[in-house]
Amino acid sequence: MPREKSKNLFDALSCEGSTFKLLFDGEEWSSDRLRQEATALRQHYSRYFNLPVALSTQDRLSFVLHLVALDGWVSRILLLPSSISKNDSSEILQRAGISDVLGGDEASSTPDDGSAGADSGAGIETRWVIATSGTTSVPKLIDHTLNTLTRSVSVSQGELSDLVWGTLYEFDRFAGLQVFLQALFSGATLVECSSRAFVERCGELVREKVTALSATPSMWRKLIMQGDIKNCRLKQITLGGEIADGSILSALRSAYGDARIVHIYASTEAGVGFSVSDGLPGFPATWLQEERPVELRIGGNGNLLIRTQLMATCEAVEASTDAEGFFDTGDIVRIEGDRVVFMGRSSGAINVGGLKVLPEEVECVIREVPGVDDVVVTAKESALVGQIVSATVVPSNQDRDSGVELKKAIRQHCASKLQKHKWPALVTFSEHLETSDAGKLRR
Amino acid sequence: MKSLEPVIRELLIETADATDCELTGELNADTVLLECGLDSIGFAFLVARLEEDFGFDPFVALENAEYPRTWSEFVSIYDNHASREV
Repeated sequence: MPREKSKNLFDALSCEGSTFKLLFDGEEWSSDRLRQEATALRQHYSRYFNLPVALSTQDRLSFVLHLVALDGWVSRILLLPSSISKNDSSEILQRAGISDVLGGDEASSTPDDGSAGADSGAGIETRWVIATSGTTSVPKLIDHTLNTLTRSVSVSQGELSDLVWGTLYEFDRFAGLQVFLQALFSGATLVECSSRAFVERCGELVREKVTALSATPSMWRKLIMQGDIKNCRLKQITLGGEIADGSILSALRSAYGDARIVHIYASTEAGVGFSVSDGLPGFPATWLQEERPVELRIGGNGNLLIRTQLMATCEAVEASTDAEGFFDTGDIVRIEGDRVVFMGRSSGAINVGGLKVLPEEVECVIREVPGVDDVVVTAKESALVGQIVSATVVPSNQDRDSGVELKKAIRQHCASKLQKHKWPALVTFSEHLETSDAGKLRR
Repeated sequence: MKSLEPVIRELLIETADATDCELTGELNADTVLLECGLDSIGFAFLVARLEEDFGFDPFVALENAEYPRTWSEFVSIYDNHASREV
């Protein structure tokens, strides 16, 4: 039966009959056990009561315990991704105005008597600050509350509590955090294995009899290709982070006929958007006219606009919100029959297996190669990773033999300057590039 | 009709080299794709290169999406598609 959402994670675990449990390295952590450890942590961190802190740890269990302890205890938690560089981390801390980082060796807080509200049940509404996955620049910081983060999370102890969720993403990223919150609030079981290598992780998902998984369409293709996942009796399949096309949806449907297949449209910036569970790409066009918790419109520029009461706040969101309160998601949509389908990002970023590539950055590197006059980088559809990078080059010298050498030089230069997902999979030659009336390269 | 296997094999080796992937050993019919050393970006590159050579991408054309698990399944998707095109 649905019930009220708790105002913080600690309270959610304290609810009578909370059936949530975490399986970590084969060890079971019940709600009670997690809460006891979190209580001890609150005592340990009592001097941070109602103060802002950052959380950074590579230890997944420690991360969960800290989240439970700190939510409702500190004024703000900044989640610092463990993969972030030291420089970026310092800059983010400075921007957020936070100096205390908990969770690692540096978290040498002096334990004290816990007098600062330890027994008060706290009752603080902690603000969560999440770093978006930046590509070329330092990640943006987005302000959330537990409420905005759990908008699409079902609070139910019915069928959902029987689910066994597997983790494919780290908890300190938006995707991983959503799975953690869903499992916790629905009283389900969560198997933590995100830190293992891919093939090993697949084995663990099967061994632990996982029945619910959330992944990007690219990750689902990889899971299906690897094959072990066929031995899981999945009841809940969630896709998000990229466009869920008809081919992956139908592949999942044919492999798991009786599973509930949901694709989630989420904007990290605005908080969770909405989910579609009819197994078809995009969403029903009738939703554009209906009154819904998340109102949907198509803007004059062809982008999807959303409006909701619970919008995360940050400068980027405010700057893209119109007078009526509709936020421009930057995702281009098109009406096809009775569906609204997603076409890509209006910013032109290429999405290679969930990783963003800015065409301009790759063009800039290719232009450094001697023998290249100009280049345009575009996305090429790939059934395996969504999109790949394709470069059309205008060579200084048009003869065929020098072309082979030039392709080689371009590949070598990209390999030395760019991360792998940004390397062009295809390099073709052209005598000229198309430009728009405004003189901009047409992509 | 002749199998496209030798061409695909040659391009796979070339792609592995171009994408900094080290092939783990001899490629035979039962080799599991994801264990051969080429990662998923590498496979996406390979499919794009094969499209340049063959003029088709069988994965885009697949109506009932099937994802190959082994080397022989991968090759037969190409062979089947090529035989339909003739």
